[in-house]
Amino acid sequence: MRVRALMPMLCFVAGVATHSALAQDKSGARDDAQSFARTLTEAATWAAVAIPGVEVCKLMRIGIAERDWIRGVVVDIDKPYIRVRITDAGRFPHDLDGTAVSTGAILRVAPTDWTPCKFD
Amino acid sequence: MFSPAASRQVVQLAIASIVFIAFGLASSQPGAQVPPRKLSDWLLEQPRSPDAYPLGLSWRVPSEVASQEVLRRELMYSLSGLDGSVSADPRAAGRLRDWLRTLPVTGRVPVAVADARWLQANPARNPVIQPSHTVILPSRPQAVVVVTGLGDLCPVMHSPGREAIAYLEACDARAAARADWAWIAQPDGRVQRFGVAGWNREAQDEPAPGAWIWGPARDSGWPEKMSERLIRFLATQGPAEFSDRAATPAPQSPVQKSTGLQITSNDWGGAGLLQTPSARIAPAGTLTLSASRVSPYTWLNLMVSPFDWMEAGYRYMDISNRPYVADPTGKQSLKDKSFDAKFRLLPESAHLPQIAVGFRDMAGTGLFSGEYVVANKRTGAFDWSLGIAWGYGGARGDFKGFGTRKAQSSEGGTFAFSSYFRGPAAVIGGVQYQAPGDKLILKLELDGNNYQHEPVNNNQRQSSPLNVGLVYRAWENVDLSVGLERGNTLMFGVALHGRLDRLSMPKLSDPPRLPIAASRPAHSPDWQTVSEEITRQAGWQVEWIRRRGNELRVTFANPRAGYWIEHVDRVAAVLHRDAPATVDRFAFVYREGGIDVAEHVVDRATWVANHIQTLPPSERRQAVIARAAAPLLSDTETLYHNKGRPRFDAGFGIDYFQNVGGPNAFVLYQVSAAERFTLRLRDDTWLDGKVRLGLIDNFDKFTFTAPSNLPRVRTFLREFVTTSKLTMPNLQLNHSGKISDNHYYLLYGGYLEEMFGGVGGEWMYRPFASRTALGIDVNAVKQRNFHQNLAFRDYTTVTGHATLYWDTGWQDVIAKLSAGRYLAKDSGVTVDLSRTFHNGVSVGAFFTKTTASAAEFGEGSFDKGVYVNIPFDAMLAKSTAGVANFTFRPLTRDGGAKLWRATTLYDLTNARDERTLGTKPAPQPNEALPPEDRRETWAPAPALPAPQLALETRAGPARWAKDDTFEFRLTQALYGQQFRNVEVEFDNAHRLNLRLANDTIRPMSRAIGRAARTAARMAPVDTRGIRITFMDDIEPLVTYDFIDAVRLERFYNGEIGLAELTGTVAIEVHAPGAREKDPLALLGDLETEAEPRTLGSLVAKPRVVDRVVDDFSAAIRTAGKVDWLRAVGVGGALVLGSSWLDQHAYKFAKNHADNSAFKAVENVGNAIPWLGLGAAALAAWDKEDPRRSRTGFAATEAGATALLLTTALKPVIGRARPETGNGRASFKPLTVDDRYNSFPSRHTAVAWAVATPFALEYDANWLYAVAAITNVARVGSRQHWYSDTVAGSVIGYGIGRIFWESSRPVNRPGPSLALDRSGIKLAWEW
Repeated sequence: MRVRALMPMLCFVAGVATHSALAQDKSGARDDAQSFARTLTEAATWAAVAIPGVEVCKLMRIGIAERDWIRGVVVDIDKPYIRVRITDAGRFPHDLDGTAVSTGAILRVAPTDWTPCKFD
Repeated sequence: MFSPAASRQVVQLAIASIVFIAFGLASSQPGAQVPPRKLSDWLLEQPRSPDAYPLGLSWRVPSEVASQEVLRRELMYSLSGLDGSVSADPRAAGRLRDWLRTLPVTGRVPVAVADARWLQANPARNPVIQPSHTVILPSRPQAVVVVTGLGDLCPVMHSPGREAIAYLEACDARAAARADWAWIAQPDGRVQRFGVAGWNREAQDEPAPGAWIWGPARDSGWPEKMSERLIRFLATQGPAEFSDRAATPAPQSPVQKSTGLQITSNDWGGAGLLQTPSARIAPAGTLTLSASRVSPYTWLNLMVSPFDWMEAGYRYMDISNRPYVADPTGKQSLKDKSFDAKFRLLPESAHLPQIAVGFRDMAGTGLFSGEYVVANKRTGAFDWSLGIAWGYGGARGDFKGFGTRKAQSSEGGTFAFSSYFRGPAAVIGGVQYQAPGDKLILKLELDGNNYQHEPVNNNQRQSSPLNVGLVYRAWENVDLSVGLERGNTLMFGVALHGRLDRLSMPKLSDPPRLPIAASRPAHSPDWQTVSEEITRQAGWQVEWIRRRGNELRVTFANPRAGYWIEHVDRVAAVLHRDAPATVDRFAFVYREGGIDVAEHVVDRATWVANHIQTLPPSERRQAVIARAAAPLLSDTETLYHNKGRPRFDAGFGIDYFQNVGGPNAFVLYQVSAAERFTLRLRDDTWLDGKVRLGLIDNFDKFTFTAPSNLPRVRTFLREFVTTSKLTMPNLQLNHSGKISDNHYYLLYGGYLEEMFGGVGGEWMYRPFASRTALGIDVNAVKQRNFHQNLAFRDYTTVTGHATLYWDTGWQDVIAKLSAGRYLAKDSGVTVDLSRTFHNGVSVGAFFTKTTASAAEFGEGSFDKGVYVNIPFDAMLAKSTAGVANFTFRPLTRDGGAKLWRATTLYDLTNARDERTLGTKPAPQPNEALPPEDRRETWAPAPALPAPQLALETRAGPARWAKDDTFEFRLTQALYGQQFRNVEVEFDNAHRLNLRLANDTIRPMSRAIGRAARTAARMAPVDTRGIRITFMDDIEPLVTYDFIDAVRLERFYNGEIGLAELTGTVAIEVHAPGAREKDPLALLGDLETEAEPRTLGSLVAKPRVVDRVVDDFSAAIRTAGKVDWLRAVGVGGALVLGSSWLDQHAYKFAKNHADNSAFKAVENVGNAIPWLGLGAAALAAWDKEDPRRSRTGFAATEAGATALLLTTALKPVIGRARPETGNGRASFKPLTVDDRYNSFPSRHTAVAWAVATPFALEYDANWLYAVAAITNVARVGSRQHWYSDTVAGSVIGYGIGRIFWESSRPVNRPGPSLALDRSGIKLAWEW
């Protein structure tokens, strides 16, 4: 009898718990999708960029609208980084992780954000 | 045990770290490679070691990691319980998950054969090892590893000759006893699945050392999809390695070789025992030709399985002790023809039998008709069947059954639906035992017939209801049968069977293929020599060779091919050998009848790479792209023009004619010599002809002319084939042309076929790569004389059809629906359904129902038949374009007879079906193939094309403009994902514009997501925005405008979520039916599992329904804004005013009733509303011109509304028609009597409703004059008073105007500018 009286409350608690779990699942699934997209991009970038001799470039933004591209050539692989010799430092001064970007400089950078490219 | 949330975190962490761990591990392996070289060279450099295990060689490619990550993620997702598919013990799932988490994502790509010498001999299969790749040659393992359903690993010492079940038993005998399937990842990377239970055991490969085996017990909660993913992932790991000491000893049970179920024919040709059918159906593509004899019956059967779930066939049955009544000599015994069909209702599973329902003699004379429902269950070597039969097969009558079984009509040929499954029924069943060795099958059955109600009063003595027999499989495709039936009569039978879908013939008589080298010549060749070499290699005539930029355009005149891709490869090989290095692409333009129909574009670099090495899947591109023929541009340089192409072309052949099952002889035949010729007057005008000389025949027996109740358009068959040995079956002049991009016409005249000559024309609408096409042909013809010379007989007629061609996309089924007027002046429809296998072989059936009644049609009741088309390419050792057609039609009758047109636009424009590239030779038998290419008995379900995961080299804007290779690469990548009609444009505002269609990836937003992902990865580096317009063939459905390309790229890189992207996407829906509930939800989707195309999805509500609903809603809104008082006032005044002329007009019409010109106007005017409605519907359907299509929709909808409204008004108003003689003011409201349905005129209302939208849209007031002809016609034919037609015009005009107004584009805001932290957004809507 006492158990029967508790049933509505148990159902309510179970319902709230299930709802919370589902809500968590939903947000979890979203986070998971985004982090998984990052994983895939890392894998794809690594496969495309981490090859000595590949021409690469990176988009730099100045303000809200101005874009500038810096370019370079991969000279070495230093997992999980690559070393890029800058061939075109762009139209504006830039720095990456505190290092100024200048033509001829060799930078140790993470391969993500760089994309294989051909300009001319 | 992890909670789901915790599991997700662990999965994320694991996935995030695996990539680098994998490469760390890989690069630390001994034998890791640095230089780019062929794998064969690498193998030869390895020290010879007895422990080396080439079968387990791992070629690991970094660019494969991403796609394998997706596979792994799906697997972990299932195991974490997030998709709810796994219901196994959570502890087992947890163990499996924990173990899988420790495995790296390797990027392994299977190698065909890891043998250096074999690879050198087969350079196209020899991978090139790039610096970033890794190759691992493992040591020979001693064990195979079983992954148990409890999530444990169970290594078992390998024992030669053992099948997977032996290893499963060694690990857990109880679980193995309940296992249905074993999935095997062989050490060379192949994935297999074999049945291991008593009901599904099949011939199988044994697992090699190092194999992974997964064989969970049935009902243990592991879904098939998860099993498939698991085994595919394990195959990427390479050979399973375990310490020998940890392994379970090798299985000790005796070595067994499993065999699959053998399906054999019964006496009636279908799969079954002796007299009785079973629920079994031979695999799709199986054709069986069988003959059986059980006195007094002989059966000659042709059975085909177009699908795994259907068997159908045609039969001649001889009753040797009864005469053929129609045979005047009385020598021939009675013949009966019949159709059978059987459908599988339920496939066999562990607990349930296979169940099928079948119909025997379903549409013949019905003498032997019967139906059955039967179930089959296999237990090892025995296959048991049990069922119930009605009709002939159930005549023993164990049950009274439902209702009574009606006798068949004397004409036969009808489907007697009211008799099916009626009357007495009997139990049927039996067992088949498969003796060891696969050669011998024993059968025992309970026959449901008692032979005491035999047709044609031919009862037989039956000593026993049990029949016994055996089948001896003499050769792979030949079965010999013998048995004892009815307890007293011997049975003999022979069956020839084969797989149509595997029909193939090596092209030994073709010129040897050219070797392909990576290098390109430096200089231009002599193009005439190149042209000659192309003709020698591919048999195609080169008309032009042109060059535009880096593209070489070769135009072929009237190319013919069975397997187009084979010809394309041969031409590409010649051009690659000879064309200068600066040429990057070859475009092959196919010119038919002077029309550039389509083109195939070959990317030279990709084509060469595909032919000289094995590429990892992520690096494989589409070498050949099909597209609509591009226009000739002014900057095109002509390199060669074949001016000397002969105008006259002739070919000699042998024709064979046969008439089977007629009363004069079972087979009447004629072999004749035939000379075909073509004289080209111009590219678009040519004369076709054929002369035939009969050589051998048995027409001396051909004396029977079939009776007919219709004009004799086909039943003079005997006269046509026997009157003269020298005939001219065809001599006709043709002219073809192109009206616009997707519209074609063909005009022809002359002796069109053996029996008819005349003139005709065809129009066809066929968008490129569309699943549908529409053709309309009209022909005025006269019957030829029996000599088939230049003279004619008296009979003339006009015949023609509208034909819809529809590639359903469902199990390769193509439907042809024809409606129109036939040669005997009967009208009706023809339905033709066929399945085309990938080697071009097709099997199909057709029927025609017309206004000719069953009695008029005569024997057979209506026209029907089955056919098999086999490309000569599948049978001959030399490439040949023709197709052998075998049609089995019970009778040649006059009803439903179509004109046999020698040339059709559908055939002429065949190259517009880009699926022609997919028709290719069937693979060679497994014995002749390397392991990687073998056909497995099981293959993973067809998947959607993989999304673009790899990063491609991107161009700067200047480079993109200068070098169209980058644009073509993007097109290739999209084409590889099944996008068609791809148009790419990078505009001055640095926006990448894509227009494309895709009928494979659904829903549409998923396809757009794939296109956007690809564009984001491959667009020029400075792209500001990406605009994607998604089409249905040529109709724009929706446009997605990603105004911030960088943000889109960041979304695909996982840097931002969908919520942050949403504000930068503008969506414009062009077709109301294309609207989706959440158009952005699937933008980032990676799903590769294809949703099966079901019958339901084919008949799902088409977009046009949504469109019509939308249009009617808009029309109602527009109608609400009309000043009705004024409209009704003006309209009413017009009608009332016109009534003053009613009597005058009637008298005038009566006085001129016999005037021929007046009659002609009446005929035209009466036809105008319906022709106009049809034309408006066509304009609506054809999306080539959006304005015309929109107006067509408005006119069709207005016409239909006018039709319905006037039909409703007529009986309500009840005005007397003029011919009733009651005068113009006589009304009888609320009557259904047609004599009182005069007001308003329906014809005029429809005519004006259809004409008005076009007249308003195009300022074409003359259309009102055309509509007014209908007013004249209706008054002239005295069907209406003049004021009835004025009322019809007013109603029609009003409705037409409302629909036109509501269909006009709404003015939208102009440009808008927005500024936020991500940049400036400019949007422009119109």
